[in-house]
Amino acid sequence: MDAPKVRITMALAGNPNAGKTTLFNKLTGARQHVGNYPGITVDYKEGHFERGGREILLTDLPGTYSLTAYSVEELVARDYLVNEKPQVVINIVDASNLERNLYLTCQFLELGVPMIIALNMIDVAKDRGIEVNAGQLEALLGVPVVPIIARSGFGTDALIDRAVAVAEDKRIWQPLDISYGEDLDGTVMTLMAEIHRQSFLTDTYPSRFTAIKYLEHDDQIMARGRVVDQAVAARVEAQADLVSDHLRKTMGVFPEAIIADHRYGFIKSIIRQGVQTRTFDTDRLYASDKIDKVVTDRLLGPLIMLAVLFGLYQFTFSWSELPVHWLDSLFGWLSGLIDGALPEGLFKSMIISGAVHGVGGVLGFVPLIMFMFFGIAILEDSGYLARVAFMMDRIFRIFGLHGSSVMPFIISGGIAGGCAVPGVLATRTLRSPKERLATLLTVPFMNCGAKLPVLALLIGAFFSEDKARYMFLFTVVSWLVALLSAKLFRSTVLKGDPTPFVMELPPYRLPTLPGLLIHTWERTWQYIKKAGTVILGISILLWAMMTFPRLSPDQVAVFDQQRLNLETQHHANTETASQERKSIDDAQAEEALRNSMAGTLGTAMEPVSRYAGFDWRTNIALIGGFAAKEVIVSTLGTAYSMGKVESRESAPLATRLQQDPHWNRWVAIAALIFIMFYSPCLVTVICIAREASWKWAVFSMLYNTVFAFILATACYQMPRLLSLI
Amino acid sequence: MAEISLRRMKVRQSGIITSVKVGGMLGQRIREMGLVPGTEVTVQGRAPLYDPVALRVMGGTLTLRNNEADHIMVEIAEETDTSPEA
Amino acid sequence: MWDSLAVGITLCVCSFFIGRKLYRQFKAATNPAAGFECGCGCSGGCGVSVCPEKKRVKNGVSPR
Repeated sequence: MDAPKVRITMALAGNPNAGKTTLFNKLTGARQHVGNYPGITVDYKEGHFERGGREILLTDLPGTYSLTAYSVEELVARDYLVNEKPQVVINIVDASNLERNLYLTCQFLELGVPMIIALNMIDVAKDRGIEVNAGQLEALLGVPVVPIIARSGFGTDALIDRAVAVAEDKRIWQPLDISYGEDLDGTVMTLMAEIHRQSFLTDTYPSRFTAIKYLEHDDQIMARGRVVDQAVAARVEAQADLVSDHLRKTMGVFPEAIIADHRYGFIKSIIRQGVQTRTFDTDRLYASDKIDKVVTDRLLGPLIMLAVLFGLYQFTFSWSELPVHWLDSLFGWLSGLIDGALPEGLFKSMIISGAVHGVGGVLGFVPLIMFMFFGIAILEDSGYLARVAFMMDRIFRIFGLHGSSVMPFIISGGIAGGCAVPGVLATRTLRSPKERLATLLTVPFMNCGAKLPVLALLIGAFFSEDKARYMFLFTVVSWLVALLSAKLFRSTVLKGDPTPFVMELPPYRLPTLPGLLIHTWERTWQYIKKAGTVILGISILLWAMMTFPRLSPDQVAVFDQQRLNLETQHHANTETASQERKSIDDAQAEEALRNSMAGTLGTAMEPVSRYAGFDWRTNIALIGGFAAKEVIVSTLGTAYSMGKVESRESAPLATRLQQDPHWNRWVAIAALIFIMFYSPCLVTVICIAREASWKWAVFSMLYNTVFAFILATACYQMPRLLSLI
Repeated sequence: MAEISLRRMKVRQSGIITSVKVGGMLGQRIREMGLVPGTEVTVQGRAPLYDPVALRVMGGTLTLRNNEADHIMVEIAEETDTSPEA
Repeated sequence: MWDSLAVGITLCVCSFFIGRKLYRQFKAATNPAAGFECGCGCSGGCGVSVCPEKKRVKNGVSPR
């Protein structure tokens, strides 16, 4: 056995979109999703790898532009650094945007954490005519600087070797002192003296850092200060306020503005000392700008956006048609095989109706899901989604939301195929609590990956002539409903002013094919895995609910009597006799299903649900759908396979629904509307409870369900009133 | 040379920031993205509904709403036609 | 007889499995320090492919 390994803790920090997650994946071999838009990492993630006999624990911190207390990400990053005290902070810096990136670096230096700079994307910088002299930067800042290309892995070995050296070096890291000009320097010194004398917060932050944060009016540190020592905190606050007032009166500026100006001044002075050289004119349009000129054009922009969306559905539905059909046949063949191999009885019914038809319904859509994920991966990785946020901000503001709400919406399935759970988490990038709540409560209206099979099933069964167009239509409807609901919330329970929209538009990047394939496959695999585990389990339990209690001997006797009558009436074994025998079997099977636990529940709800056109079978599926939306498809599959006695060849669920007299286009529309908008699934509800409160989680379950029911009823009753049917 | 508000700048026009007169969260957000006095900005484009505006600042592209751009004053080279856009 | 027995056992296994899953999700919900991404089981939509913690247990080998 090896001797106990040396453990080294490292943290990755830097601006959003500077390549932290790419580097994290490269180093740890993990395959975290990397998107080309700012703010994808909200929590920190940990991974580990081995290097020269040392075990390295690497933490990927959320991307931030500075270390203020204005957003959750910044607080997460800052608290991690001061509380966990990683042995080295790898500050990843985008070489093609050095000046802006060094603003954060500057604050790390002021915090005095052991640090190494990973100068990333030197290839992109070179393409733009920017050369960065790493040696000079290292000499001027006094921290190791290693040029790397995270995407290809260039320089990462050297980076880790030097990071290990920093961790094992016993050097004491002194916080960097930046002069903030004569107006502030004096005050900073006075505050520092007071802080130092009283050992105020000195176990966590350097005294100079605390002094600066008081001048910047940092809520978190001020609150912490009050807890630690009320008296000192009051004195320091008073002094900081005094300076702040004075500056505002005499010069009309805020202390934080002066601090920021001097930090940038410090950065500019460093950059001018031969750190950065430009080989050609900066005014030249980058390739990215040229694309933007077309893609965000006043007229072309929205048209392109709609075309992209529509094209995505067209591609998804037309390319997946054949493989979906093959899978259908495969499951039909499989149930036929099992039918022949197993003896009659409960077990066989469970395997065929519960497992194969339940899970088969969900798995049958794997090709479709795969094509959808592939298309979305292209949009995400290229950076197009950030442009969508840019173009949509003005519209979102009308509805009381924020341009940054676009991301949670798209993550939740705004284009179809997302998930509300990370969507709810992504609302953390919103700084105003009211805008955040409004977003959080409306993102579950989007068509997530689990609703996709339901949409695909019903659209495929009832609107097969133009699937892409209907998919597009239902997506637009989901957006409209979400936005109008948000407006409703924002003008009633969640009134408040809008917050700033300062966002970075990342440059376009050409997605790499292996990257796209990995993303697509990982997501598809997760879908398959879920169908094979959770959905399988739930669908077997639901099968049990749809089977027990079984018909009483008396009830069975009634059907037996009917069969006996049939035998005595028709001695000749004609076609009609066998057909009648089958209809008696069907009636018995249906009676058995209706008599079961789930059937009783579904029937009990029928008096209400029939206004929206849902029969008791659909009710069962809708209740099951609360556990996970895919369950709707699997439950319908089970319910419709149990209610009928199998003929020789088993038809796919879509065909069965088409043939069922109860279903028609209007029922399908009402069902789709209800499924799109009713209560979020259990996991999302838990997530809302965690991000907001249980009160809001319960509100979202009740409000969404009632709201969806009203809409569905309207959809179902309208054509009746207008006598279209 | 003339000093105008960033909102009134035209597409493809460049200027040097002279002041950012806002505090609190918005001020912090603007400054941490590099919009500080002395920085050169170029208006890259506007969203289809004329708002927000895309700016080239340092090496990157930023977006900003018009009412946020109001707080930022910019010095631009004098032009023959300085009439504000509708 | 084996028919009912097989069904009974399967149902027990399923109940246990789903129950455990629910318990874990509730535990994650009450522990704000834990990330939700790995437990969400959201049919791939969430875009988090490999849970880092799981990765850690499975392979601790250097990427090289």
